[in-house]
Amino acid sequence: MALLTLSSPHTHGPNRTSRIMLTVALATLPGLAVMTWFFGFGTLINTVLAVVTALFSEALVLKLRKYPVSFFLKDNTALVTGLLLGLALPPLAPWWITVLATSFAIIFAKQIYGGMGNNPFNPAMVGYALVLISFPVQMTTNWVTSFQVTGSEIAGFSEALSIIFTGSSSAADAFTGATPLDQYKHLISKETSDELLQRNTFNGWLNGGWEWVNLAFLAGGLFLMARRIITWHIPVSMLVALSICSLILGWDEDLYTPLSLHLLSGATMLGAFFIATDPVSASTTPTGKLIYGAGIGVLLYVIRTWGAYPDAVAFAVLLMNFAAPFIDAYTQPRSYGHSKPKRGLKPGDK
Amino acid sequence: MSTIIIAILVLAGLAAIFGALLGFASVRFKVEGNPVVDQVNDLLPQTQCGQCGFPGCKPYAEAIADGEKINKCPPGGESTIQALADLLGVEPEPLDAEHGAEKDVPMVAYIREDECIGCTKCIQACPVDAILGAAKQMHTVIVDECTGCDLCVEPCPVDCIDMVPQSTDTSSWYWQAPTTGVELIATDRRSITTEAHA
Amino acid sequence: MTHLIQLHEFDGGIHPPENKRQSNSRPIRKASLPAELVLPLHQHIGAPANPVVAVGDSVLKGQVIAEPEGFVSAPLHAPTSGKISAIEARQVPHASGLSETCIVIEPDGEETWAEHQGLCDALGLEHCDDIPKEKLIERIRDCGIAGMGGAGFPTAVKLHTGQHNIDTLILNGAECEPYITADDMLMREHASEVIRGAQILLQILGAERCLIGVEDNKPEAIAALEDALVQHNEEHHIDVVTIPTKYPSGGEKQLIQILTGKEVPSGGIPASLGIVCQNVGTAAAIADAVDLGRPLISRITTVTGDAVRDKGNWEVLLGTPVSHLLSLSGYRPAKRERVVMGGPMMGFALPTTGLPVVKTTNCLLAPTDKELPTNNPAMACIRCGLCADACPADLLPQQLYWFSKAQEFDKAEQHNLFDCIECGACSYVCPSEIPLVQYYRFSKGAIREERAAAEKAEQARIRYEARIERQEREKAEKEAKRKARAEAAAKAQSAKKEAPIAKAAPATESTATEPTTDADLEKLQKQLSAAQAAVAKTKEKLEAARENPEMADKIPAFESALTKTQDKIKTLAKEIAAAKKAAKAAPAATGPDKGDPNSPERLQKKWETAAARLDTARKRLEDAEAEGADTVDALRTGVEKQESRVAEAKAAYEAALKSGTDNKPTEATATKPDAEQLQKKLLAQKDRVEKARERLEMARAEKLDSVDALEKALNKQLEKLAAFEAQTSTTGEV
Repeated sequence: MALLTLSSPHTHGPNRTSRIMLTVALATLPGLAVMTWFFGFGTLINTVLAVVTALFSEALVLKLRKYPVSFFLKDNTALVTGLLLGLALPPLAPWWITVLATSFAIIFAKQIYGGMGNNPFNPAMVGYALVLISFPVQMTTNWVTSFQVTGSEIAGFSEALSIIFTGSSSAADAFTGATPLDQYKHLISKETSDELLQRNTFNGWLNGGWEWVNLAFLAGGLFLMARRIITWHIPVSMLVALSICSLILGWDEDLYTPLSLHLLSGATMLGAFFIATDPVSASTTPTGKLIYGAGIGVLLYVIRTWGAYPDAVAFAVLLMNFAAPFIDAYTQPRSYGHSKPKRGLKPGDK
Repeated sequence: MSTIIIAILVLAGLAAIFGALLGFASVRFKVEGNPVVDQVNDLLPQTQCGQCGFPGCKPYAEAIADGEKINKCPPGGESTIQALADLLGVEPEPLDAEHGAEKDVPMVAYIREDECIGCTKCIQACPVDAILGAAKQMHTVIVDECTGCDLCVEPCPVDCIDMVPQSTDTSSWYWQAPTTGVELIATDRRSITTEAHA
Repeated sequence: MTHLIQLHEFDGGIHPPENKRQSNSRPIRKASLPAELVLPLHQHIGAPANPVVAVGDSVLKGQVIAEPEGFVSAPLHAPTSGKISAIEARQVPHASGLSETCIVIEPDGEETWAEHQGLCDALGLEHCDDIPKEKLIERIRDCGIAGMGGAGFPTAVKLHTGQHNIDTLILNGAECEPYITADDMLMREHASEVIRGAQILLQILGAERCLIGVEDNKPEAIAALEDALVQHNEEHHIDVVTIPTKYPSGGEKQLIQILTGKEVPSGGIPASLGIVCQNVGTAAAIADAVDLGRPLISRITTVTGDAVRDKGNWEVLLGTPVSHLLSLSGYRPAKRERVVMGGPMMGFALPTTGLPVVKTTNCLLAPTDKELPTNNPAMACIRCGLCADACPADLLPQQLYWFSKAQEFDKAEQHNLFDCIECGACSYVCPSEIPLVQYYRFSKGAIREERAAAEKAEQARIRYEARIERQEREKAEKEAKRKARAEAAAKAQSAKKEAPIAKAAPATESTATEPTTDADLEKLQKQLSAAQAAVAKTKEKLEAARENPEMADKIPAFESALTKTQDKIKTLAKEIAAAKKAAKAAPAATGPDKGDPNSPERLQKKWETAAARLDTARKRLEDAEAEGADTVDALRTGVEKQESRVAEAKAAYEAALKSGTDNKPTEATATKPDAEQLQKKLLAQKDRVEKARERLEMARAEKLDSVDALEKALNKQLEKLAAFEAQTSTTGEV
């Protein structure tokens, strides 16, 4: 009679990767809803397209790697990657951009490295960076100026569908434009802040609807924090670092983008709560998370202010991904029974 | 013209500064390394079995330092080759089969004592003095000292020496690393998926 | 509860479902006697015990059946009266499922106790507070008490606190693992013994206070302890401290942190903080051992899990098979059958149910698959950090996992792998269901194995080099000898040629050899003193190792080193003695003043020593005969040889004397008393001849091998007698 012999513990708590990932997906829904409300169905269509592409690419590679497909698809990580990419891409980006970014993210940034848990970089941001560098025009002009702000019309479902899939640019031109961050950055050298805000993108409102989008992502992030899926370290340190940089270096609204625009426009909150906190590629020690978050905040400000791109969540996160293992090695917590924490990876120092 | 001169001056200045820095570092952080022979010898398993063709581990270490191949040590196996390759900065090579195969389990010599005639030949063969006995007296192996090198087996005129695997007991046993879902190869896939659904 | 204890919190920890209700709702029952009891010799940390009974022996309940081996070890007692039916290797309760030597007892059902009494009565003391602490520790060791919380460290060893001053005793009644209620029920029903055990421990340690830490999910146990405190009038020294329920608050290090806020240094022991921590079950066992003289032969074990109908706690004899206990509890084997010894967090699954209950078995958990489902196949680590949040030792479990998986053991060690207490909290919270603890166990085992291999390799290297050195030295010596011989031969050749010089040569040679022997002697003595110093050092180290349980595994190595050096000392001493002898003999041989070896004085001395030797030999023979030992024959021949030697010596002496008297006839006056002496000797010799004859007769009757020798001896005696007679007649004539 052979009984089952497994190593202890013989019991397991309720945590499951698939459930965690599903919760993350749920937490993005308010943001998705608000984006759809302000920018039309383009966001929703692209998000669905990204999720479908992500799941399909994942299944394809698993099949090629001779792994059980359904077992690994059920971990919901591909779902989250697709979702985040869909939210990050311009609402009216052509379909092939979405498909290219997503499949690249899954196949090259995730599965090539060994699949879930083994990717050194955030897959969604790798995909995003690829298309941003390769197709800067499509990536910066396909944003929608919110009709709620301007009062003008926005693309309906069928229009959005045709813009995305047929690329009828004539139809698209009516709705699309640059983001507030982009406009402010490029025009502030020519105009004063007050003049700028009279433009269509802002229409008197500083953030042209983006503030609601960011607040929705903030709400989702707080929900994740409450569910103990993410900790406060990365978002708080990132936002604090961004704020400090903006207050010290960019205090003059007539020269630099103001703090409110930094915090509540672009992908700031999505990045702080959903992208920078991707556990696989982020730092994991408590101190390390603070440094990692702060690094992203500083890089975000630097690239937004002096770089060529209007928004920089992707680059900031990817650059800090490089540093995460190093940060982890030098920020080990003090373990029980030790007078001081250990540093680095060198063996021997006891 | 002046720009070229400035460029040259700047580069020369930089070169001088970094050169000084490197020089300082090489003096300040000088590492007093072990002689390579000792480092190599520390990596060898010290079974003194001579399977490498040298009379012991130290001679082989000396030979390696002089450029001998690093894949001639069956008791050390792949891990020793890897360690030597890391130390010496050379490509690891598979174990040279000519010198024998790596054993799965550590062995110790065991003398069937009632057959021993007390010839002392094994005592002379043992490189680590792990056999106890005297002429015309029964010999025995000091198990704790035996390196399992096999060298005593050959000289025994009555073949009373066996190499037996070293047994594990409850104090030396330990859990092996688990094999988990992601690491499974294709042939094992069926079992994990059925497990998952069972 | 007179003191206000400031509670501290340890980082991490988890709150798994407690599942304690099932088994703590009914009182402890006594398990019936099984058909056989199987007692592994290795139920504790340290060296296995050494059996002192043989198969077929009858033993009484509580009788010692195995003695401790070395310092860190514990004896074993028969849990019931009966017969030893086997001493053999059997599968023991261990995660490996390996076999080790066990003593098997077939109970006779009588339960006859061996004689036992409380330590106070045994020592004849009036006040039990006067018992010296050494006696208390000795009693605890003799009663085989080992930590009952799960680790099984011999309690007596833990109480040897050495130079550490202990101010706080902590009794661990936290019992934080789900399902287990053995300590809970013990505290409820045997609170008085627990308090008594605490008193004894305080007496041993000389500590000022005792804290009993109990989780707040055991209100009944806390109340029972408080009552017992009042009964024992100990409210001022002992505090029952209610601590919040959180796993693993019952870990020794965590409990110490909760109650005192101090952290046990990594690699150190609590005693260095002035703290000793014992399980409440151990305290109760100590009370039984000291007050009643009962060794550790039974314990309280929880049997629970949905696969048993009748969950509860049993007082069970050690060695009782798990299957017996399970069947008493109404066990129904379920699909994916599992029986865990210990709790669900840290226990280990048994390979079969035939294994016995041992000193550390606090729980048998037989869950159904529905109750505690086995893990799904592990997914990849997503570095979510939940494990780091749960870790009570503030480690980075996910980093340790990556390093263990990649077998980067040095990095794992650098990340404090050995501070992991294997509590399982990380595995419990891991969303990817990775068996993290198993990875850590693998790494720790592999590192230990690597260390042992490295140590062995180092030893082999040293031995190899020593051998090479020795061989070279021998070769050099041989060479030197050969050279010397050749030189000597050449010299002899030249000496023959140049005769005049030859005379001086031996003189110089002898003077030359003496200092070298002296130098040798000095060298040997130096070596001896060095060896003695080494022994002293090793002894110190050994003591230190014995005090420090972390170093317990090194004790055998130290011991062997000690015996080795001691052996060396012996051989050195022998060599010195030999050298001294040689040194003495050298001048004796060369010194002419000691003179003629055949001088009567020397011969007399020889004779006397021979006679003395004969006496001792005879005595030994008598002893041997009295004991009926099989060495009698050998001794007898020895005696006979000695007798003949005495006779020879005497004869030689007499002859010398005679020749002396022959040579000095002028000293006639001196011969008169000689005549009387000779007369006496003659009579004695006659006696001896008689005796020799008798012995020969006896030998002949018994057909012993010694007949020939005896015959020879008799002949010699006769010869001597004749010589004496001749002598007396001559002296008489004078």
